[in-house]
Amino acid sequence: MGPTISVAERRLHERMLAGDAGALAELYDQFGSVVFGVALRVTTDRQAAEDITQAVFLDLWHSPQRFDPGRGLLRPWLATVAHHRGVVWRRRQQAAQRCDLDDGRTHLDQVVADIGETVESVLMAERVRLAVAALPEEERVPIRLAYFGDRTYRQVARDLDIPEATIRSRIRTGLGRTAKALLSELVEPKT
Amino acid sequence: MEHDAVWDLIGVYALDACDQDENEAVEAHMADCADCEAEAARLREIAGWIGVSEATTPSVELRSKLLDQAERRVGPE
Repeated sequence: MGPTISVAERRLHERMLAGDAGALAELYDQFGSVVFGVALRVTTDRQAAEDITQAVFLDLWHSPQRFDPGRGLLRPWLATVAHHRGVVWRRRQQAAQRCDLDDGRTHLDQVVADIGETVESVLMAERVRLAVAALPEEERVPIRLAYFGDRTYRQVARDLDIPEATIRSRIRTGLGRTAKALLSELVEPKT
Repeated sequence: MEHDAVWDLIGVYALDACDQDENEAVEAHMADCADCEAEAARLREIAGWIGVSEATTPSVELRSKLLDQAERRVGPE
């Protein structure tokens, strides 16, 4: 799926495994914006997003073997880790303040897109964005609500007044369709 | 949790959108089921790429804070 791991990325990971602090700095320079961006999007809290960003990189620094270069690229992997931590933070937050209904989503208007990404990854992220945008609404909406909204699929089902099993299957189908669209595009690249 | 039930949850699991107990059940099952584990990895990568489009530059201070914490030898640049 997507671009294969580059020699540079593999080497960077090997240096992490060897405990090279310079590699951590490089890693952060390349991927800090992805980790922070995802964490900010999920938590809508700058301080929490910074804490999560630190934790994600320190974690990888202490346990670099957690990333398996045979299974994909660092960038989406880091995004996934940041997302997971963001969700954990948010749920803890929600449990602590069940009655606070302001989710602070308006802060997101101030978020500026990062331009320091590599061209290949920008293209891949753009392809994913287009592939998701091209999904039928009934799949796209629950995917976005589940991933970026502060909701479990059960809450999404309730909000959209759709059975939980249907939501599960639509999200599954939509993600699979996105994967397939990317794959076919990679096999037959558009000019 | 049965294989079919886990298989049914894998999409929402990949989006971190399960309940806590479901998360744990999915992970427990995946430890013994290569099919579910592979499918989750495939869908998680897509989810990761959806997240990548959100990249945002953090504050400058965060970099030196992180590197300080990682190893004292590497100070702010």
